[in-house]
Amino acid sequence: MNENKRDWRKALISIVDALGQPVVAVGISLLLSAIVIMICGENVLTAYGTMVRGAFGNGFYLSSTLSRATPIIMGGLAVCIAWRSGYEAMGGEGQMIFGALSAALVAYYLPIPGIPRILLAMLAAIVVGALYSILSGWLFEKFEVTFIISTLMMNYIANNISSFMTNFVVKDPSALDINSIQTGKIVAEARIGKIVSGNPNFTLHWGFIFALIAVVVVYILFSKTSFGYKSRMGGLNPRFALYGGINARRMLYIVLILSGAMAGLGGAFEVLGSKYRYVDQMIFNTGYAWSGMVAALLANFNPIGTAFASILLAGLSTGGSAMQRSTSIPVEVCNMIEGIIMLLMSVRLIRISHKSRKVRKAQKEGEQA
Amino acid sequence: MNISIDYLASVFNSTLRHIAPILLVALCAGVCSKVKVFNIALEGTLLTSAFFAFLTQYFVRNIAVAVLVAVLVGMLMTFIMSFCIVKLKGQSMIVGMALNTFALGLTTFLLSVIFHTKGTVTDPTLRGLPKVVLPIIKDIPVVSTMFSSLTLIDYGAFVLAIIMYIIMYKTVIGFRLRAIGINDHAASSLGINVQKYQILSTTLAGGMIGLAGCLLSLGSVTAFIQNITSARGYVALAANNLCQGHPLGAILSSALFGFTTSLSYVLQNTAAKQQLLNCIPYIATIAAMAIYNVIARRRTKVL
Repeated sequence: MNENKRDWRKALISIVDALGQPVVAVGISLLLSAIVIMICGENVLTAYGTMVRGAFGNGFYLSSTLSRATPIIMGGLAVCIAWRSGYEAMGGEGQMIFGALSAALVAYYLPIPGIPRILLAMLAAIVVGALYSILSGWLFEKFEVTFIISTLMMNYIANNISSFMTNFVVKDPSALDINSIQTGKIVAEARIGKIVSGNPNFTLHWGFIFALIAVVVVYILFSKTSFGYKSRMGGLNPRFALYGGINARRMLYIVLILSGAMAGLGGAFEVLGSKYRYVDQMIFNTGYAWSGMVAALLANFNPIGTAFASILLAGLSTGGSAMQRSTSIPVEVCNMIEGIIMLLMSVRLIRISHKSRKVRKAQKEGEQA
Repeated sequence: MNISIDYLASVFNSTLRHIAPILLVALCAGVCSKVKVFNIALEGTLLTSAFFAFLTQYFVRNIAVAVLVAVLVGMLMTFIMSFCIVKLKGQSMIVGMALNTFALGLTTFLLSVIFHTKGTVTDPTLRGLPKVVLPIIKDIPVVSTMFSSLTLIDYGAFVLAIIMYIIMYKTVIGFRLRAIGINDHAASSLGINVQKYQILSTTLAGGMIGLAGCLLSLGSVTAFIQNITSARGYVALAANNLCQGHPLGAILSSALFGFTTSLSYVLQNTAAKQQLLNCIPYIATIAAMAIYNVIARRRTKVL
């Protein structure tokens, strides 16, 4: 009887541990931004109502939220793969930028028919993203340049180089406006199709489905294969992994290739399914890769959780834009919400209280004995 | 492009002006790394204090108050960072990135609420930090160019580096702080309140980021530009890695990054394209780290 009760309690604690933290984090950050909204002189309920409606209110809004979620999911998967294996790489942004640019170029310049052209464009994004990721791994392995510094610097380098390319090398010659710095528009046959064809308002494209497939693949890879086990061990305890005969160097490169490929592919989806061209700063300004990172953190690097969190964060942005249109509150309030959520997620409020209770109990027992 | 002595003097001047912000942030990073609080929120802290320095100056029109506010904001942000890491046991990477995301959101949000813009705010009537005019040097032709339009904080950064060296290596407090970094268990067994020291020292050091923020938005230009820091916080982190947290070494490593940054501005007059020039400081950062590590590894092999 007592045993049963304890099991039940354990299960509850583990559920609260898994769900409680994100719920508390999201709750507190919504509360804090409610204060900001009130200071701006707007009605909190109206503002949040507009936000929810603008994100998930009807088919159109939902479809634009999901299409926005696509690159975020891919960026989140990239973070999941790398961080779960113990490499705190933050180069998703740079890889996504180069992936997007190379997909745009292949799809625009390569004169071959539809489907192969799309596939080659996606392949180009995968290869370029993976190569850029390998570069950071090489810097780490050969020169011990930490991932934090190399990948952050490489994000800025990638953005500047892509900006240079779109400004001077591959700028759309037919652009009417001299200020529109972008590559040429991809022809209809080389685009990833819309899921609901015929209605231009439904922006959701098949890239979203591909992203969901990628989520499942990564999930299976991590939880059902020996590769997943090895990489996780490497992340949890590198010395144990070494002792167990895992080739750390090979692991490093495989993980980084996978991670970079995901990020690059995310960029390709955004270009081939949504924008149909690479526009200067398009990944940098939208912060897809960073949102992906927040999503992965929210889900504690679980791929399926990451997908849900990505959709939530995408909803935060589309809803935020809707709020910006109808109230005086700018969309950037969502970045603040994201930051606060992330901060509260990192400090593990609930687990600490849980642990301290345990410690207190142990101390009490110690005193009695 | 013709290279004259005057030109080189102006390059030197521009390098000097780029050193101080990185040096100040690197000094703070140095304190944080000495007490084992990994601070990657430097970038966001710098951005926030640059914004609040500008905001205060815009509304209060008193440079001393603006500097004070920026310093306090720098300390507040760093306090949140270290409190979350030290007391709440947050993962330092995530805490830092969260604060950076928050800072970017907060500044852009306030920019559009208060100034109704998302790019650059400037006001011709706004006065920046006063420029120091050195008494004798101002009459010498080339040397005056070398030291022209530098503010008190520019010079103060170097003085602070020396003060930090004295504090960290010549005082009891510095000894305790370094002891925490070397072995926090041993330090706490000596009766040092490790957590208190960690939080206090990092918070105070955060004030230096505030000073750096003033230089960005009220220094050589009096304007706030969205994302004005452009990764200077991360570059300072790299600078601190290069000098292993030594305050005097930080002068040297910051000089390296100040030079590459000014190089990317100076070369603008040539045929080289802006976007590619922008990459120079970032590439230099990675290259410097790589070269340093190779040399350090060789040295340990010899020993």
